[in-house]
Amino acid sequence: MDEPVIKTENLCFVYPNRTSALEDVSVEVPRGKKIVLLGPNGAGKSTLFLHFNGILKPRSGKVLFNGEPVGYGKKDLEELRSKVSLVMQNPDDQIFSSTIEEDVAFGPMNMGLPMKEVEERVCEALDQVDMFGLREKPTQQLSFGQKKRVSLAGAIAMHPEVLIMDEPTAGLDSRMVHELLELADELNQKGLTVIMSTHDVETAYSWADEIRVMNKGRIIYSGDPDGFFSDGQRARNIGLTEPMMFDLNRTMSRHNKVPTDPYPRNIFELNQKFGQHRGAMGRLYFYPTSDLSGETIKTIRHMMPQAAVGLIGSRARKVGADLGLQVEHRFDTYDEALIEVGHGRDFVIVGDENWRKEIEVRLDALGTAFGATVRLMRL
Amino acid sequence: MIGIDELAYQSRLRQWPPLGKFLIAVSLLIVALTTDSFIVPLITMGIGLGLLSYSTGLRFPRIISLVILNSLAIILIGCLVIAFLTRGGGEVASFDLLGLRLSIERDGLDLATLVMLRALAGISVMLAFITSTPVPHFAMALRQLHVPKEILELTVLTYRYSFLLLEQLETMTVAASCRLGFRGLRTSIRTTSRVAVGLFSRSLDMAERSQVALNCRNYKGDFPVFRPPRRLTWPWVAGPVGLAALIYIGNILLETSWKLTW
Repeated sequence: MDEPVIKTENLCFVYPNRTSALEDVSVEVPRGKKIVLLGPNGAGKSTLFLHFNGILKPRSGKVLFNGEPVGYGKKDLEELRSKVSLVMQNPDDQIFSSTIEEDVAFGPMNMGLPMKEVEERVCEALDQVDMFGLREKPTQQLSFGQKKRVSLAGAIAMHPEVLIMDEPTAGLDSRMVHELLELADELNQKGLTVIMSTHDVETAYSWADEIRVMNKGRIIYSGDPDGFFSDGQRARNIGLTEPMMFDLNRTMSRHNKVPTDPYPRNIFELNQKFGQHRGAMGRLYFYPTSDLSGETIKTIRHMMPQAAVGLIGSRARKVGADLGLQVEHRFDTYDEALIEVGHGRDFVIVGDENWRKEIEVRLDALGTAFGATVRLMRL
Repeated sequence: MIGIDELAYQSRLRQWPPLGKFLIAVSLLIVALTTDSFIVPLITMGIGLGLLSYSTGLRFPRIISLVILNSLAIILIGCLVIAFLTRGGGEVASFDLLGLRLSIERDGLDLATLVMLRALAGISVMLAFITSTPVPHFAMALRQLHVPKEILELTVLTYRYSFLLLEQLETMTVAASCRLGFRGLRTSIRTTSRVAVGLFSRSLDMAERSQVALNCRNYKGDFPVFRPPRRLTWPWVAGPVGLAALIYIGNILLETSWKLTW
C-alpha cells in the first residue's frame, strides 16, 4: 500500500486563549484520493488544516509529509507550503493583490520561478477556473463566486501535491458547487490529493472517496462514507444528518426487503438497484473536446435528433462557451447523463480524454456494484 | 472611492505610464499657477477636460459630479471673498446689502477670476489623472523613482483592505438599520460608535487571517510585482515638460495680445 501523503500522530493543539482545538489526532491522508473532512462548527477542521501546511505547530505529536516529519525551519516550511496549498473559506482573507492575475501570480513568484513559467501557470490556473478573460480586473470588483475562483486559482498555480480547501462550497450556488467539484475531480485525475472540509453531507457522500469525521477536536471516524452513515445515531449525535441518497436507500431497502449494501450514490444507481430501469436504456456517447467545432453539435443533432448533449470538465465548458454551443447540460453532466440514459434517451458527453477514462472507470464500478451495463461509445 | 476606482480601471488612458500622466498633470498645474494671464489656466483647463472626457468616455458617475460641484461651491465662495476684499484699479460695481455698501474693484475682480480659473484648471487636470490611474498602478510606478518598497507595499495593502473595510462598514450599517439602529439622534450616535468599534476589531481579525493566508503562499517579506505598469521613458518626460514650456513661453511672447482682463 502507498504511503499516505500526509499523516498526523497524536496531534494536540491549544490556542493561546486555552481553547483546546485538537486532542490526540491521528489521521492519514492517502495519496491521490479525494478526502472530505466532515464535522460540525468548531470541530477543529480548520485548525487541523493549518497543521497540514505548517502554519500552526502542534503542542505535541507530529505531522508527517511524504513519510518525513514536517520541519518548522524557514526552508522546510517554504518547501512544504509549495507542495501543500490551502484555499481559505473566505476568499477575502486570501486575496490581497489589486488585480486577479497579480494575486494568482503571488504564490508562484514567491517560489522564485522564472517569469515565463509564472506567466504560464497564471494563464493555466485562470483558464481552469474560467477567469482568464477577467485577468486584469481589480479584485475588489469581483462577486463572491468569482473571488472563490480566484482564490482557488492562486492555490492551483503553485502546482501543489496536495490541495486543501476549507469549506469551498459555502455560499456558492448549485452550478458553481458542481463546477468546483468537477474541477477538483480534474485535479485529482492529474494525481493531486484533494482534501476539503464541509458541513454539506450530500457533497461529502457523493464526491468523497473517503471521509474523516471530527468532533470536539478529535477524529471519530476514518473510512468510506457508507461506513459512517450506517450508524445513523452517530451522525446525529454530532449534529449531522444522513445524506438524502443514503436515507432513501435505507428506506427502500427495508421496504423491498433487500440488503442496504451496495449503497447508491446517485439517482441512477438507486433506480438501478430497485429495478426502476424497466425499458430499454439510452446509449451513452463520448465526443472529445479537441475535435469540437461550431458544426459539431449541429451534426450530432442531425444524426441523433432525440439525444441530449452535455459538457463535462472545465475545458469543454470553456470551448463550449467560446463556440456558443447550445447544449442541455453544462454542469453535473455525468449524473444527468445517467438519468437520461436510464430514461431511454441517448446522451452525448463532450469532454477531455481524461474525463473519458474517468467515466469508463465509474461505469465499470457501476456495472460491478449494480449490474448496470452502460457502455461509453466513441462518437 | 469605489466609483473613482472603477473609472480608473476602465479608463482609456489606463495603459499610459502612471508617472507620465502624473507629470502631465503636475507640469500643467505648475504652469497654470505661475502665470498671471487668464488664458493659461483656461488652456490648462481645456487640456484637463479633454483628457478627462477621453479617459472616462464622458461617463461621470455621481461621485465625480459631487466632487466637481463641491469644489465649485468652495471656489466660488473663496473667490467672492477675494473679489470684495481686494482693493485697487477703480470701482467696477457696487450695491447696498441691508444698509451695508459693498463694492467690487477691478484688481479684486481680476484676482478672483484668476484664482477661480487656476483652481478649475487644477481640478480638471488632477481629476483627469486620478480617474485614469488606479492607486496600485501609481504606487508600483513609484518604484522607478526608488521610493522604498515598504511604503509602496503598505500603500497597496491599505488600498486593498480599505475596500474590504468599506464593504464591512456597509454591511454593519445595513445590519444596524435593520434593527432600527439609526432611530433618533442618540441611538444613531450610539450605533455609529458601536459600528466603529466593531470595525476596528474586525480589522484586527482580518489582519490575522491575512497573515495566515500570506504564509500559506510562501510570503517572504515583500510583494513581487507580476505585471509592472509601463515605465516612464524620456519621451514621456519631454512631452509634458515641453507642452508646459510651450504654454509658458507662448504666454510671455504673446502676453500683450492675448492677456484677458475685465
